[in-house]
Amino acid sequence: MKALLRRFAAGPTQLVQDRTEMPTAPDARLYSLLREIDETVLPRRLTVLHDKTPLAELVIANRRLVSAQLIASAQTRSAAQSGLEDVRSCLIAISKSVGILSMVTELHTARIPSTDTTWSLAALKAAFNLEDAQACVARLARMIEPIADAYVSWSRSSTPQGGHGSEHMRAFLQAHVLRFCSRSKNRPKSVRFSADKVEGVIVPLSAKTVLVLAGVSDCGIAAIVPASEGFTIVSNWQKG
Amino acid sequence: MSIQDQLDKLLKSQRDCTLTAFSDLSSGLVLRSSSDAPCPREKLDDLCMTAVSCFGLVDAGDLPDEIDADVFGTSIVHFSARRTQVFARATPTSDDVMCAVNDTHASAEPMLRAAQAAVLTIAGES
Repeated sequence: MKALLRRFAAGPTQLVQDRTEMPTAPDARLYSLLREIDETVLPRRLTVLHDKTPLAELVIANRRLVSAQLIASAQTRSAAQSGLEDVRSCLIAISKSVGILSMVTELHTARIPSTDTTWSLAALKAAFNLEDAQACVARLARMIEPIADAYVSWSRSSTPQGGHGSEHMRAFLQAHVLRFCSRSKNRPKSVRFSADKVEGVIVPLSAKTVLVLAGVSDCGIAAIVPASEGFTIVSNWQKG
Repeated sequence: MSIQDQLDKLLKSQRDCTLTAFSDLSSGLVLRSSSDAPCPREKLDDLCMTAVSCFGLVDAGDLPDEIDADVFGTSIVHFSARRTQVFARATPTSDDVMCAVNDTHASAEPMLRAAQAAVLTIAGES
């Protein structure tokens, strides 16, 4: 909260956010950069540091990436001038850099080009083949449904419909789906399942079967599958 | 072997495991933990709250015949796109839970089996 207040209170030449450490895993670093873009409305210059040495500089405004540049590389080019592939290479280079990285955010006072020469979060996600949450659930469902002894799915409502399997198994699944969805909505944030990202559970039911339940707030799937296949499917789904 | 020894053993035996913890569901507290890097208290609290939330999902009433009442509710794997957390307890009603965290994409099955073995050992020794 303190950092957030400082961000909003910063003057025209002030540091907006002190140095914050970035995650070490490449994919987590990439997500942290994308989250920074998603949360930045006013023009900001974000400098990625390796120890105290600047590694890269990103300019962000209106939740769009305006420019991205590795400090060691050639002259700064805007995102549009450099092309999506260059921007992608820059972000990949940051995410895969060896060592501990941190980032500092400052106000950016130079003129920001129009939105058609900058990159939206959706375009960047597409460039990295990052799926939205519903596509993520759909991919998991495609892997689960062919081997499921029983399954139910839901979309745009918390009421599971249709599915496959015996009536009492579907009723069992539906009861757990309703509990999963209601816990997401009604519990305090620290105790609920997330409403904005895909997550799920594997519950062993016997020595041979597991319940796999995964979803976001408005779609998901619950299925009973053979145990070893259930674990393998979730692992493969995580690999993307 | 103490609970801390079991946590250390579980952490070392699972190549991708980054954190193990022994929690009490009734109080929502992590009693012991083991990790390679220092782990903030908030992260441990979140882990325990996730365990509480996960075990709150299972309803042992009116189970279909295909479901083993001795298995159902003893363990749960919680997963997101990038993290897997396993929770295992000795019986479906026990409050003592072994937790283990994996931040890679490896299958959770070996870690779950190891966590189950550890919590059964602790339950047998207490």
